[in-house]
Amino acid sequence: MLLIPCPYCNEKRPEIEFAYAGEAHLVRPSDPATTSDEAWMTFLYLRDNPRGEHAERWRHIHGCGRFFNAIRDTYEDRFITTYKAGEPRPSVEGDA
Amino acid sequence: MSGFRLDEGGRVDRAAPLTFTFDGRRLSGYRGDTLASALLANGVHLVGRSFKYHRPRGILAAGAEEPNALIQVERGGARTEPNIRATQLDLYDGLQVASQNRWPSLQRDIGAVNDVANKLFPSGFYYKTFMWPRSFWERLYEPFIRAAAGLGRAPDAGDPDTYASRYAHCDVLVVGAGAAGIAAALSASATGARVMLVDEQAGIGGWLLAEPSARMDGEAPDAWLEHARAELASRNVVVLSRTTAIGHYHDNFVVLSERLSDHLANPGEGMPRERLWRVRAGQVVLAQGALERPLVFGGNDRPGVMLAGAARTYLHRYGVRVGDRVVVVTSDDSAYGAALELAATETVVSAIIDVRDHPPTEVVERARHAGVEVLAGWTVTETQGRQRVHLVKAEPLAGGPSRTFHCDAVLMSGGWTPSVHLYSHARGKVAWRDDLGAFVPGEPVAGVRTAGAGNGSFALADAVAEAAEAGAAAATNAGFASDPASFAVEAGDHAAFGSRLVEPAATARRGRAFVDFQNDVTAKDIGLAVREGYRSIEHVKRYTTTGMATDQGKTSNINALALAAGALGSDIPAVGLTTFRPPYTPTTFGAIAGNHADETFDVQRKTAIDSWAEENGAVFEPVGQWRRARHFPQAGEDMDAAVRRECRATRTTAGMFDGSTLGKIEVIGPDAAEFIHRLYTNPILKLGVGRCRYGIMLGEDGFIRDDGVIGRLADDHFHVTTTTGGAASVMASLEDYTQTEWPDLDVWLTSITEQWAVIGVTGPKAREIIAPLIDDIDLSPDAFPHMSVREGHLRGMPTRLFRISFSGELGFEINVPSRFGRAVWEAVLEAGEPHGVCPYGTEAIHVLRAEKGFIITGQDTDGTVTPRDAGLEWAIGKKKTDFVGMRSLSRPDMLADGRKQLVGLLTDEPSVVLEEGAQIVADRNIEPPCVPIGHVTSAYYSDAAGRSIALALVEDGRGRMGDTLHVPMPDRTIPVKVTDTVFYDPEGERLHD
Amino acid sequence: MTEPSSGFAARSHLDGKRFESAEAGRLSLEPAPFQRRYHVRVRPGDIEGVSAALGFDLPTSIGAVTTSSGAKALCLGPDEWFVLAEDLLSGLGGGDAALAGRISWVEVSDRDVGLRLSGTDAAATLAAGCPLDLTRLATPGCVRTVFEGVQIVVLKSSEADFEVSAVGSFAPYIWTILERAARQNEAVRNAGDGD
Repeated sequence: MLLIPCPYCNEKRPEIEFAYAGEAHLVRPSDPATTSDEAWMTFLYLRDNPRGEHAERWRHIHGCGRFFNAIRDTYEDRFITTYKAGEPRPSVEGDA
Repeated sequence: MSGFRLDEGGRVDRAAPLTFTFDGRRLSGYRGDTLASALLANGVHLVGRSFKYHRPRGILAAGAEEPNALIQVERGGARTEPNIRATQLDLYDGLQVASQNRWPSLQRDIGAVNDVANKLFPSGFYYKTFMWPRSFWERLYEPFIRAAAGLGRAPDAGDPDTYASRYAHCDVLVVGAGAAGIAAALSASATGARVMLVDEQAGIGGWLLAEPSARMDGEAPDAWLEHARAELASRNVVVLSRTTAIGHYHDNFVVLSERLSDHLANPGEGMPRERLWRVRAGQVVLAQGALERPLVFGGNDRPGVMLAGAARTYLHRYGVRVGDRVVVVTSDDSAYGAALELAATETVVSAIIDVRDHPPTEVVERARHAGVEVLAGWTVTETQGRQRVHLVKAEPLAGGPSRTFHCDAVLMSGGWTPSVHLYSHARGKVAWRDDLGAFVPGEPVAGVRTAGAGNGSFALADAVAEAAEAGAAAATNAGFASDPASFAVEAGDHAAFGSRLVEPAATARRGRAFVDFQNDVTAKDIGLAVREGYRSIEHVKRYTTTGMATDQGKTSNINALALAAGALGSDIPAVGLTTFRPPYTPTTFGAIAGNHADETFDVQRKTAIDSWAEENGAVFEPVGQWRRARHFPQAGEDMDAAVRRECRATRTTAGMFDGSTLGKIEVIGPDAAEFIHRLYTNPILKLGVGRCRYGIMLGEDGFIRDDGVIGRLADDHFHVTTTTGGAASVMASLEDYTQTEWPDLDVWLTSITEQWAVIGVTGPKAREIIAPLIDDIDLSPDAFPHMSVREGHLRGMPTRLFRISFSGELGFEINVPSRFGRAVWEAVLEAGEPHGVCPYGTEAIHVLRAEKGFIITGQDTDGTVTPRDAGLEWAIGKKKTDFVGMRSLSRPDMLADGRKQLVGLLTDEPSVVLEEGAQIVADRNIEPPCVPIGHVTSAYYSDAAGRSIALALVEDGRGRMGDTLHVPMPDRTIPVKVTDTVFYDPEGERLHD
Repeated sequence: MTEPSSGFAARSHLDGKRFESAEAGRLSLEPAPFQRRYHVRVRPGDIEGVSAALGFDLPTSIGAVTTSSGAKALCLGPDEWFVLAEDLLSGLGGGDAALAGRISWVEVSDRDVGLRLSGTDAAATLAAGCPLDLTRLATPGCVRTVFEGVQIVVLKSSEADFEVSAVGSFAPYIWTILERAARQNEAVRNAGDGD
């Protein structure tokens, strides 16, 4: 069971307090009505599935309740960093 | 007591004799014995039959690695457990055990015919031998194999024991309480760190208990351990014995299984059998020690053939000689110790057969000086003896005449394998050390240190120094700066370790040389697998099943790997090790289940009114984690009759139901209306205060997720209901949108599902029934029309009163604070009794709503249904430009023909009720495979309609009105007519009275 | 909202429950008496202003507990509090024009149920299902976490005094696990004497 650093609580908390919430930094089109079918389909269904660093949304659902973002290594299942919702994706060691 | 027990020595209590039975035979032992040591003291080596060939098997080892001595423990009734390692079972008075895998008896076993026919059962036999003729598989082969498969006998009743489970936290966890682990714990605990020290054995000491001549700080092991124990206790170190670290997971989460009562003759009342510790450690020191390897030679599985180190353990720890006349065969110096120490007792050591050409001179000289013959460069090729070894044949590896030796025990050592299991669980990568012939921990894992024999440091002084260093470093890393404790260590008299792995192929010259004892895998099987084309060690393992038994190959993996590498013409590091996975030793389901057993298997949620339903004969059904009253049968009624009565009463007078499980969310804030407007399909901005609206929530993909009622209590204040099952996910979804999508909106959410108990009163008399109870709300139709909400009081009690309906009748939902739910329920019931009010359950709710064509999300929808598909386009705000999921509704797929649409179905025979989930076809005569065009989502007998009704999702359903479709069932095909979804009061007149 | 005066009988999910360890002082496990509970949400940037307008001190760091007007305020998240009071805190959060649109103050007294653990074994008993190291929690301090799958809020008043709040229908499940753990701990301790 992982320890996940919550950027709001400022401490590492056990994985069972958290819920995964999908890929991070997907932006809902600001005007869906004028968004093309293609662009809307991409927003709905196309997701990255990298082996390695992945930007993800998590929620400290059984803690402070906040959604936040994380860079997780999907191969090692290891959290590289976490940051508050709304903050840009940080560059982490190993990034090109 | 038999002649195999020494008069003194060992850690058994000779003043505390115990009796036990083995296969019904009464035997005796002492407190402090394991079952294995007590059996050996009685001269018993034959303890079981092997899995595949039913070969007689004895005790190989003295600890957790034991592959052979698996027995069935009988504690009466359901307390029977198979596959317990005799080497780890502490003896208690009255213990009853039985051997396994034999019939009719251990000595005369019919299944041993498999051994004679062993050529039928090579590796992979189950892929080849029983293939033809094909028809034999079901009738003959499979039943036979099933009957023969398995070891031991599973209990046939529920487990009567309880199991404890807890979390624990420490700065440093030390796994393994041998000399190394103790040194680590003493070093780690010196400066205030919280330390846990755990060991799978009955006490601390580990290998030190079999080294009586070693000295620690000038003391004999017993005295030193006593002092160490006191010192650890004074520092509040948690010392757990009989506790196996079964898995090492992320971030030093280590799971321990503690055996609490299996060693007790009479566990106290309420005593849990085991306790699972879920430990989060800052730092971990692994001092797991090492396991001795067998040598691979013909007949190495015969009872009496055992590991040399185990023989030393039995001698020193339990005061038991494993035989009167022994032969030692070894590739490691350490076995010389076993030979010489046994030779110092009544036991005669006939010879030491060293498979190395040039064992260290000093070691050999010492043996010869003690009068023991040493044959260097020789190996054992064969053993004889029906149920115990009585003779071995040996020959020079380079060839030459063989010799035979009479004996009643053979002690073997193929060197030592460091236990890297937990290090590997923690994703450490092992490294091969050719000088040891073993894998050892390679690159360090963050927060994990390895020390002692488990790290390849076999010599006592090295192990202790390394572990003290590791313990101090761990404490320092955890924030408790500490220096390694120093210990004056004198190795025991025969402490020499030194070996390289001797190619098992060199010693496996004749006969059947076993690699994996428990799964009956021989050296030849490994060779066969390679010849048949298997290259990966993972494939060789699975094809031969080597390492796949309950011991997970603790004694066999390296030998199997060496054989595979040899056959492949490769070297061991290139072939690589199979993956270690938790648990380290077999673990009971009871321990794993922990708190999730019996009435806390899962949460069962009950409403405030549940107790009334229970007292009044309700039949319950689970709805998610809730239990809900399904119906309230009266004497002589079955469910159908009860539900018809409940429905009829509701339509003719009034019914009442417990709606408390519905999800409820309080939405507050200046932007509350805007927020709900964006989340639901319906227009919300202009919803008046005091009014309600039915709302549908979609996913962004346009499919229906949930529905409920949105009530506006004030401009900035809403009470929103969700389905029972959707409460948590809707709440999470709303939070997601407030936090991440529209953080600019000022809106806050609170789950109030259980703040309010909900009492639904519905039917023509509903208003008359509740009117006398309501203090300050005008219930007249004009003042309080359908789809309204008011806050007021019910006999002084604050209430939120909704006028809504899921039944199509005049309906009210009374929300009162939960703690008064039952009292108010009873007050309403009392008020309603003169009117004939009838409590009804979920089944009647479902029938009443289906009669009106109201959907249940998750039953009539399945995550692929749009509002249009469900016939709910009317609930979409026509002027809205956006809401969650709106854009998806105009995607081409959503507008295409052929989508499944919700329709009604009427069977030609009114009394026939369809099965929910049944498939629907257009043409009754088509041949299979026929493509269904839809399925039944809801089906009931409707009292109001006087016939059966159903809802279904059917391709282009609304274009098929009046058509006849077919529902094929196993016994017949049922014709149905497609209809509208509303079966009762289509104009909705009854709602507005 | 005012207190009902109608004489309706109140019930709780934990009516009749109580556990006392055989050895006094080790563990007392009992349902908390009925308390007023409020779920409070305020924008993170507006906490001090709202506290001043309320005349009620909302702590600003997650896990902190303050006492104000006879009520305890537990900070659960950056914009979320749980307020526990002996008596009805009427007027707070509603009506005041200065607070309009700045706060969500929702009574949840009937939603949640409290369990109190006191004694030297209190933390060890909670460890049966609580994954956090409660000995490291501040005094007073609070934390929201999960107990064998069920969300709880733990309020720590001293090393030997804890109050667990959970949604009512989950309380019997938590109670059963805690009471079972307490009995198991007692049995193990008794057996340890003779082993």
